Amino acid sequence: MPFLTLKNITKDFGTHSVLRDVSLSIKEGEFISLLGASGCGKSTLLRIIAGLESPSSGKIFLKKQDITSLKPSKRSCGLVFQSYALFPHMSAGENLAFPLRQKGYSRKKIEQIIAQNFELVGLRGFESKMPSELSGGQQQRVSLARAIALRPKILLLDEPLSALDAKVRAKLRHDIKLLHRELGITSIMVTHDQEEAIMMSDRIALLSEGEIVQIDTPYRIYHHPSHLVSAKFIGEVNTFAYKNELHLLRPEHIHLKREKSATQDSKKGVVSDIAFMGGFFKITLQAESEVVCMISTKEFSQLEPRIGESLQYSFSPKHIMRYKAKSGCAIES
Amino acid sequence: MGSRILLWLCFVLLACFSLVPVGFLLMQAFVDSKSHFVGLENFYSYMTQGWLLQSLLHTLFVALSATIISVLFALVCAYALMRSHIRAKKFIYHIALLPLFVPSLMYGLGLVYLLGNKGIITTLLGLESFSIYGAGGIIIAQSIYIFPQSFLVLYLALQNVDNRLYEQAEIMGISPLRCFFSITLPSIRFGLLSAVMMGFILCFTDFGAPIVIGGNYNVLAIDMYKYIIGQQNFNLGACIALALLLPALLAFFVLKYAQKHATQSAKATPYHIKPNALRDRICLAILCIPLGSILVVMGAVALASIIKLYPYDLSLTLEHFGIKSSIDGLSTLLNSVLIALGAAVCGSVFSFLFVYLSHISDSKLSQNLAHFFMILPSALPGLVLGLGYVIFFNASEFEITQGLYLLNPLYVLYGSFALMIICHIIHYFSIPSLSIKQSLQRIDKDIESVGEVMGISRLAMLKNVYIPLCLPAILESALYFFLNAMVSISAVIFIYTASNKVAAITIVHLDEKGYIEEAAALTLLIVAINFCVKILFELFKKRVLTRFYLNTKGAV
Repeated sequence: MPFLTLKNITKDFGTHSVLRDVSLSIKEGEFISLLGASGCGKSTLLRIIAGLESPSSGKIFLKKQDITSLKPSKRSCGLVFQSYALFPHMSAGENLAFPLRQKGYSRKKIEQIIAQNFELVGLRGFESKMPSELSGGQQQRVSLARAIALRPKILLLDEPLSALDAKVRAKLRHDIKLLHRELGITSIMVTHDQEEAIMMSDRIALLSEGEIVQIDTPYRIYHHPSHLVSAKFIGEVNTFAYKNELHLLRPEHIHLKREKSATQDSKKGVVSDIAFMGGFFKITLQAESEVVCMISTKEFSQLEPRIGESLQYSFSPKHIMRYKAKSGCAIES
Repeated sequence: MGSRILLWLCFVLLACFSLVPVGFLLMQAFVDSKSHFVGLENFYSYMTQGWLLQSLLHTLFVALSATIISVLFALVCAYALMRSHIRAKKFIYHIALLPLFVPSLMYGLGLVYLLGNKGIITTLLGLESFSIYGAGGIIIAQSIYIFPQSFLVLYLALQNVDNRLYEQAEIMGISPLRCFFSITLPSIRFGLLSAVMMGFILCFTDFGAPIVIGGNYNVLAIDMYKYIIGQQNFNLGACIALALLLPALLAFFVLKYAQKHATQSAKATPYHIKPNALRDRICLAILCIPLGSILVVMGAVALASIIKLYPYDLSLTLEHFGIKSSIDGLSTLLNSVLIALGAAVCGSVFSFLFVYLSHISDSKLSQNLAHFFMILPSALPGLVLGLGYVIFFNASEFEITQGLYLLNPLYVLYGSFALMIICHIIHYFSIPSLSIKQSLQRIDKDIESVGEVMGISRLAMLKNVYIPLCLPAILESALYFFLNAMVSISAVIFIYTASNKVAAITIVHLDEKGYIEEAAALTLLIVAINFCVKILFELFKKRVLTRFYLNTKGAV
């Protein structure tokens, strides 16, 4: 039985419809990402789950209870924002204590909760620091501690890592994952960063223009995108038109060879760009259309390609992902 | 729900004390003394006396002249501070802003003491036939009066010009003079327009300078005063109010347009000043004219207050500070302080509550209406507001039709301190409410969501989050209300009675009776109180708020 169910959620702002008939069910303890480009309605969906916006139509259930018109404070959600949303004039500890005091907790209980949660987010000893004295990553940890302090049933994360620089982001990403594993709180994260979504989520709900395109595990979405939109949104793809179908291929599934070792099913292309990506190389060929492929450093040193020279490229048919050109729907093979 | 009712209550209050009296006043322009509709007859009778047109032209002439002079000097002054290597920049900056704390008729007084019939300079040089009274005097006094405002606007405008433009120009080999005309001037054009419009509105509706130094040179503000106080002719007064209001409104719309466009570049790199001794000397020389004038005129007022009777008795005395020539003595100064304190406390609290209520409202209508009430007072000249007040609040009942009267419940306010305080709050409402609005908007929107989700009540959020975060703006507002209430004349000249007369009005009366020394002494006392309050405020801010500012730096 699903823990949280969204049924046919629609949201219009005036004549502009932001969400169209969105349905989603989430299991208890699951980590789900709402992934999409900016303006696709993912943040609005999160705010509707939190109760900060009400849907134009549709219903939300927590287990069997209809919570569609329940006040935000009664829904037991924890909320983390990209902007941290800390009270800037209160110390880190006070940021937790203030809401707890409003809930009527005793001083002793509050101290205990602060200690426990600062420990959890790895900020023990920072309780008396002001937000302005903390780094972005630390501020987001305080915000996280505040969100989980009351052990909510659902943790909502709205682009929690987007304001942080790459290194801090990677560390916090890992720590949020650990925290999720330890506490088992059902979590929903809004993000536009596909890498983040792939690495953190049990399942990804891919949104485009107010509709859910695909909901699946990151592995399935990457290898079996059900729609052209999800195939193109996650990872890079090469697109080849074939009759009234589109054939998509991931760059890592394309093999490069010298011309002398050409085979029947390989084709010719001219190297137009070589980019060193750290662990691997990205080679762009000009053939009938542009072909991008990724090769390991080892392959690269064997092949030694140069810009302007011709190479042969080939791929195995089993890696081809086929879509109808018109509707963009996947063709099951 | 409760907050919505409170907000609408605020709207009703604001309407009662701004829109209604002013609307009522404008209606008076089209009726006769028995409230019968007469169309444009009042305007016609004012015209036939030949005064309306002449006064209008006079007012336009002095206001435009004073504005142009003041803005030109302010431009040089701002330029010198931003773009040259002159010394003592901080000192110059503060001198330029000095006139902000001073009643506008102080310059008139100073000029009269220097250049009047028995003025220091007039008698020293034996200029028997020379007269400062009239257009010349008004223009000089007003150009000093609006100097700090023009200066501030242009100073900020110059600060916003991106230095990278000049670096580009230098690489392309464009001469400094061309740079000034093709980079500097175009970049600050909206700032210039703002300064001109702001100055024009202040001068056009100014009462302080012409009453002291205008002589027989009739301008609208004085006409209005004479018709109301002298002849009790409210209908003609209302006509003049309309003549005063319309050009001011026009200028106000241009000002709003200019302000909207003026604040564009957010991240300008600061200007790099190159050494140029000639430029510095020219700047300094021109700078001396406005700054010298400010200091000399203020100095003259100070001299007037301590010299027994120039030119007959040059001995020094403090007896002018007793204000013995007015039956009110110093009691009106106490009234001023009490009323200014009232305006500061009630004004800042009300402004915050009103802006907060409109901020949390999610109705577009309420927000637009709130914005309208924040902007409206800055479009209303003080004299117009004051006249609206006296006509509206001094009527115990209104005749609706023959024999049917409507009791005016607000009549009880007439003659009270409360009405004076309310008048000041409305008159100066725009700047504090807009600055509080800005500080509320700076608070992260998501904080509100966090409060909602965590079940923190509105009241707790208000007390623990919004008030502390807006405290600097609230305190600045209180100071603004206090300083202005102390020096304001125009709005309250019509509504004071014996029981709530303020010192600024006493100055006008002393001057009218020729007791210029005591007028000067009372002016100095007001200035001294304002300075003390300002300094106390700064000390307080440093001690209490510095920690706060530090803590919130970067996060708000």
